[in-house]
Amino acid sequence: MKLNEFVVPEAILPELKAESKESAIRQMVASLKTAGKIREVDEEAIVSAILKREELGSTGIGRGVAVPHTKHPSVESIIATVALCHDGLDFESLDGEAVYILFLLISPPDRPGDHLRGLETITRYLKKDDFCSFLKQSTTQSQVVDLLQEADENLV
Amino acid sequence: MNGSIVLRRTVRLKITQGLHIRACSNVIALVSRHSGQVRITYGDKTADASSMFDLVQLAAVPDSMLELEATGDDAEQVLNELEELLSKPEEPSS
Repeated sequence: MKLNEFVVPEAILPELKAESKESAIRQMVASLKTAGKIREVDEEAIVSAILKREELGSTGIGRGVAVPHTKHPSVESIIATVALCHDGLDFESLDGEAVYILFLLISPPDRPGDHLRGLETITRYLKKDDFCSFLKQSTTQSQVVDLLQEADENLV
Repeated sequence: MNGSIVLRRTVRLKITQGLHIRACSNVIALVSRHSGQVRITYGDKTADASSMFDLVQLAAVPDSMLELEATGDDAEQVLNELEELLSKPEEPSS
């Protein structure tokens, strides 16, 4: 699976300003709504589901990365957006460190394999120091889109 | 792997949503209570069971066969606990 198969380019937030985990999640879900990938009527339910999932344990998985996610029947295939929080965000991460890179995923409930492959793709790319470093330095949507494309083509 | 004892076991993953992030967190918490090293292999990928990034990259789906490998004096105990964790379904939220 490649990032361009499920990351929605127009929903990328290259300079997220968030005071809290909830604020970050709300802005990312709203961005997917603005991009036309989720319906307004589903927005609050999706935010609530993601926040409920966070209560079970943070999806801040270390290396300055968080992957908030949920499964929701309103999506027919896995979708995701990326946000960069250049000031760092307390996400109650496993390693206790601030989060700078967020990938938010929404996937259909009946396809756990797609969800797992999406997470696999994200973590495989984020394990590369260069990719992480370039991503953190990005400040525009087009820079992030270009970087994701280069990563998909194994150029980073 | 270092250590005088290396034990291996094959288990079928029964967690309903596969080896998702919360399941990986549970594996890491379990492994951290033991002194030896633990690795999990699925297909052609092998993960250090103390690494979230490694474990997530296995992308192990429900019903997959996982090869567990543990070192150290408590290797058998950690394999027993891991087998119990991985062999029972949990609630579907991930």
